[in-house]
Amino acid sequence: MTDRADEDVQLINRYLQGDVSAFDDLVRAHENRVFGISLRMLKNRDAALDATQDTFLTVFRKADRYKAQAAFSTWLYRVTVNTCYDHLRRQKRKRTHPLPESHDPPDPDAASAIEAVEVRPDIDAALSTLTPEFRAAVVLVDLEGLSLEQASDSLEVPIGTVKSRVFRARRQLARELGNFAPPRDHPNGDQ
Amino acid sequence: MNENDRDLILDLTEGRLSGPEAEAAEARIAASPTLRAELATQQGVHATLAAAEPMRMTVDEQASLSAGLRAQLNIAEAPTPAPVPLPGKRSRWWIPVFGLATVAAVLVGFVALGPLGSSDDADTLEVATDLVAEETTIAENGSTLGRSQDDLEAEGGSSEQPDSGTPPTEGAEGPAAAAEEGGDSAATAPTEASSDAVDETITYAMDDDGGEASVPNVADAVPPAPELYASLQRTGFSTQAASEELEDDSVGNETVSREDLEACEAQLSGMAPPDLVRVEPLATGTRGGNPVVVLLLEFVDSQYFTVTVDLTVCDIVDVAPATP
Repeated sequence: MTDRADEDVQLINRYLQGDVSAFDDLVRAHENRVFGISLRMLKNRDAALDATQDTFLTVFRKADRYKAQAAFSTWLYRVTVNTCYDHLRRQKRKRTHPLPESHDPPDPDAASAIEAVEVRPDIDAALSTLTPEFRAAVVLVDLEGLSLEQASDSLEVPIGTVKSRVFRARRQLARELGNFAPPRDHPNGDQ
Repeated sequence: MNENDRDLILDLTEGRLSGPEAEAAEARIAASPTLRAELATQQGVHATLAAAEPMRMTVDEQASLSAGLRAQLNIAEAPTPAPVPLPGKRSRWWIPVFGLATVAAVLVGFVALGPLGSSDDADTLEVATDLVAEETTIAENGSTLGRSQDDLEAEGGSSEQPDSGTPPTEGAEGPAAAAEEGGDSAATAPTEASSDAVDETITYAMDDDGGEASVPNVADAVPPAPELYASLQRTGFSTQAASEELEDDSVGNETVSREDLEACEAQLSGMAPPDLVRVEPLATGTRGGNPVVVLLLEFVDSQYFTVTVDLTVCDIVDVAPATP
């Protein structure tokens, strides 16, 4: 395991033994990545902060179930993505009676000022066109730098599924971002 | 495009191939305009996303997250050095301590009954501690702890001994055991924490027949409720209550009016830390001539503290972790 992974295991063990400082260290080490994934997934800072908190709550409450065979970060990202899925499902339920404009394509200009600065509206808008599953795959692999295998573990899907999602998600993002010409024999970018 | 081509493109995009494998893959892709375009697309998007600024939380968001997690998980703040008390600076931590009706009863009962024990007619036990700033003489009534019967009934509780609900003391070395061994004579039971700092002393005076186990043992362990502990150390709550003398309710050399006590209780009530589960009066007495009450605080994580409240100044004058 890497130094970070070793340190995470030690922190988890210390936390389970009642060491409060381990809690701080663990949160501090991962909060930005958890928040980043959540923000990419949910596109809203408040929602991302909620998801980040929910993620860490889940992690700390289930810390005793963590098995050190897998990297802590893999488990953490799995919880993060699942938490984001839950939030998205809740958001969807809340939209049972949507306003008419909710069917419009995402408007990056409608994002808050802070989002406009920090999320880069072009990428954010492009990501928002992806399904949550595709978005999670490309966020983990391309934005967070996980390998396909790590993403497979985190998303709990076969690696072939991750490859397919990443591949197709990039194609769709290429169209949305407009910077890259899709292959000529696949004008729609879908397979 | 078949699955193998897709995997080749993905592998090349992520730089997972090297040597002959990479050369073979590049040759295959170079032979196909479709694959070349696809590789360019995948690499372009990958590079764009990888170059994106990482998301970072703001300081406020980090603080919010930490506070939210701690509240949800009942985790106190990490220990911080106890600041030097600032005269006149109010620390509101102990408001919850007095937010419970018990304390009001203790305060009022203390005045009504006065010092209920003395070193003349009770076993005396000295507990040395490095956390006490002044010598404190505390008289403990073994049956009512200074609460009147009306007060006890008003609380809906019984006049149970303080040890019935308090954490057990630490082994036979504790003050309770020492008191039993000492009989009517004073018994000194220095704790581990006091081994290198015995310049301060608390004297508990107890009745023969009870209350021993309620006397907390002072621990040297770092309390897992460090936030509280740190704030307890901030004894800068030094607003002097305007004391009105009550001739009949004088305690020691000082007097505290019922109005002052009620004002003190009201001043301190209203807030409660989420992890405080119980306040138990342990003893009443005097300290530096001022009436004091000693309370045992129990927290949800089974951590205990004793605090000594100077009733004249409505201020915490001492705090110590107690070991179950």
